[in-house]
Amino acid sequence: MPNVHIEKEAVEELEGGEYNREPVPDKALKGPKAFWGMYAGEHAAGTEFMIGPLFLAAGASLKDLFIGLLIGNILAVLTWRYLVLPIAMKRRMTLYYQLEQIAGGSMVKLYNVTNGVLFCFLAGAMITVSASAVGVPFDVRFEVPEATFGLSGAGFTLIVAIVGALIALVAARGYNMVARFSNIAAPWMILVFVACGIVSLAQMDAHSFAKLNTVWNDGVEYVKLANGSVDFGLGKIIIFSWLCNAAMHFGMADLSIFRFTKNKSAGWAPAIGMFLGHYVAWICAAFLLAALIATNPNETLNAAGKVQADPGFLAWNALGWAGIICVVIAGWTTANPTIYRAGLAFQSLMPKSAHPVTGVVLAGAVATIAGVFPNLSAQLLGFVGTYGMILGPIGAIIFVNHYLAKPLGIHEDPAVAKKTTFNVAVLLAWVIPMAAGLWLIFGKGQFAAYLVIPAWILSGILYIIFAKLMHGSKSNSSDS
Amino acid sequence: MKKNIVILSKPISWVSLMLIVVPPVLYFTDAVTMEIMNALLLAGTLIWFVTAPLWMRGE
Repeated sequence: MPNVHIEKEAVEELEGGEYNREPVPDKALKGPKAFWGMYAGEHAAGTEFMIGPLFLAAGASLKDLFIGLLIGNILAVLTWRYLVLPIAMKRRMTLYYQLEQIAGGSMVKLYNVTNGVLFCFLAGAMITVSASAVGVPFDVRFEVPEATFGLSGAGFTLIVAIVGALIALVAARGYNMVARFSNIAAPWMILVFVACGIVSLAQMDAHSFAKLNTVWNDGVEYVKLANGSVDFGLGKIIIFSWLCNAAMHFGMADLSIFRFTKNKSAGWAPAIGMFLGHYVAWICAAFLLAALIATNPNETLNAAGKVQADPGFLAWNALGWAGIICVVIAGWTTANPTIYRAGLAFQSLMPKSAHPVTGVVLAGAVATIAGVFPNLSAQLLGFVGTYGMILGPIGAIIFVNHYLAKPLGIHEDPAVAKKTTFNVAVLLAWVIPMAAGLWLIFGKGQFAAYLVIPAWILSGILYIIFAKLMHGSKSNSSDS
Repeated sequence: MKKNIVILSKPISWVSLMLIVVPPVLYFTDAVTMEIMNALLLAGTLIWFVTAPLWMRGE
């Protein structure tokens, strides 16, 4: 996803892992190699099979794609390096623990559950992706209906239900087995993406950039003819690729990862994930759709005659059984930890007497229900932006607390200072920009990724205002 | 015995990854058919998932 990834430390946080309620001590710090290794496998996942082709289906030109992804990914890496890493190295705490000190424990639960619900939708899209590949041998095709909550065929819906149930069942058995399998699959999966690109070039007979460009442009024209006017220009590509992981960098979720770093150079490690996953993998996956349009355009159309990206069939068309296996594994290894993580968040709201897997089963059920609506996965470009717009502002509050609290005279870590479990100033500073953003996205059709940075800035400003109004300035409160 | 399996499995794993990249390049240059390429890709996939867990466990 955008690559919405899931970090082991975040899972440990919810499970009560090591150093989650204290700064990481020097003896537990790790060198840069560990971070490069981790990020290398993090951003080549099931989402890439869906997002790549969507660029073509959205009408992006090839030149814009090459340049836009390059700029956007560089900006994303710089954001990790200069926004997240300095705070992580200074405080050495997870996002959750820092947020608890600012917002209080109950507010962290609210953040977690919001995150969990969004994770369910992401996992649902990944169940759809896996099901699209499982259906190919049974000649059951993924069909994107017109309505957002419209169903595909009965056969596909049944496959989604079975895949979703299996994924939830495995998730209920714990996190480690899937995490280990995911690590094993990562190097192979990256090369399968490369293979997709090379085979697609051969299918397009694109032995030069000029020929490739011509075939791509013909593909865009074909999409326009079938789907009507589409537009995904350079600016949109830059903003999307920069902010598709906004929850991780602007939203500071990766504080949980970088708190372990020994030196600053680890801050460049996301570059490997960005350029393997959000450059090579996206472009190679996009070539799959371009090749299918060039060789067999009728196979790209749904029942309504519109071009759709069917990841399972696209991979099958290029790589045969290896492609099917890759899409199934990519979808599964993304959906599984996502459901597990969402399940832990839901579990935190349940009484202690509840069965320990109730949360995961609930998350699996929600994700499977989301998965039966193929249009949700077809709108992944918008969903990823929405995800960043909702969770990103939390990072602004952490930023203000870290850098501006002292100079502006507001309380640093106010939940600790005021002994509160629910800081209303944080809630308002988070919810107001989020509500405005959601209204612009769903009410006015605004492209979600455009709203991430405005929401982040607004949230920071509102937090300063509400903190001053509700908690008074630090000097006043000290005087009193 | 177990140590030997681990030592042997590593180079086999890396060769299996070659089977993911090289056949598409050969297909691109018209040196192999799609059927042969797909068969080699599947073989590379299966060998990777059999051998990689043997040595990646400890790394």
